[in-house]
Amino acid sequence: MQLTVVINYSLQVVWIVLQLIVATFLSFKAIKTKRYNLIPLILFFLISSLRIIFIVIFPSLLIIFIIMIQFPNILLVIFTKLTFFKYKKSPFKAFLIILIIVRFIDFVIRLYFQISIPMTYILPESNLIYYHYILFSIGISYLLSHFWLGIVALKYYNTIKSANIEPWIKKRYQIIGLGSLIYGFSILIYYFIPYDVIDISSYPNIIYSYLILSFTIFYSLCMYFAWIMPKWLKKLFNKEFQEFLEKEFEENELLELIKKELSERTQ
Amino acid sequence: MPIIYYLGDLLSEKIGISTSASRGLIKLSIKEEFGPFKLISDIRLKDYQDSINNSLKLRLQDLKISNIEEIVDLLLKELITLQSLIIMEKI
Repeated sequence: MQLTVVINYSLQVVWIVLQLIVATFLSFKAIKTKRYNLIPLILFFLISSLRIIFIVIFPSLLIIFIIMIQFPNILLVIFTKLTFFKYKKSPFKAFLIILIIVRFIDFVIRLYFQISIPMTYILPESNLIYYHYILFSIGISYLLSHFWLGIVALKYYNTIKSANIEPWIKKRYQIIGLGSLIYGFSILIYYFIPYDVIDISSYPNIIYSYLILSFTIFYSLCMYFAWIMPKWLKKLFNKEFQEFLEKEFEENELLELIKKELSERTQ
Repeated sequence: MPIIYYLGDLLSEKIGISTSASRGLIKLSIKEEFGPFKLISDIRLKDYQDSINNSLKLRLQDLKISNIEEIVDLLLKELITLQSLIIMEKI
């Protein structure tokens, strides 16, 4: 086996393992804390990573693989809605409808014309429009899912930046935001892959493939550290944070205190 | 609980009591709404909304605070804005 292929497979294993760890961790947390709005995010990580394992084990079941690749971006949009925009106006419905339509057409084209990026066969010029549609589909999917989550997370990071909240929580927003935005930008690499060079291990596809893998590993690491933030990292972020230990009041004691403070205010 | 800290600071500013008292009042309203056995860390967005709309509102009425509707609306609006904290602080 060529060295380049071995490196490629090894890098794939790294991000798949990272995303599976995040999915498993979040599953336990969702059950333990009853935070069921994490389910779309868990499914996003699970399907994103398992689809690769699936196609390696069952290469003949291409149709299942093509179905699997349609869902992760839709799930991420649902997670963003449930986490940031419940009972709040957002472009969620428009994004969801656009994604469902775009991904359905994506499914049909991939199924009938076996389009993939990079291509696995020489595509006739007359079918080039379908290749460009798949590029468009990937682009719009990243834009509406990763970009949206990235922008929203960074916006909330800026909102709470100066609030008296533990810094590790603020950092979680920042890491999710930056990781998602940078990963979203990696979509541009797909546009440089020539449609007439087949096979992932041939030049220049191998270079683009490594670049995409690097972005995917970077994103998976960001999600790993954001969601499974190790204690040492939390401590590091909280280094200069003065935790305020608040007195727990009994009901009567608290009401007396409030009445006293209110009367002092009116005097 | 950062969300309680945040709402407590806002309430303190609006009714002119100390931040520890206003946070205590929010916690008390949650306990009143859901009983002593539900942990504050298990409270979800809808639970916070119900606590502010029901028991906190009544508590503010008992304390003869003026502009209660305005204060409750502001707290609910901020709660909705910062709803993601409920997930982010818990995981």
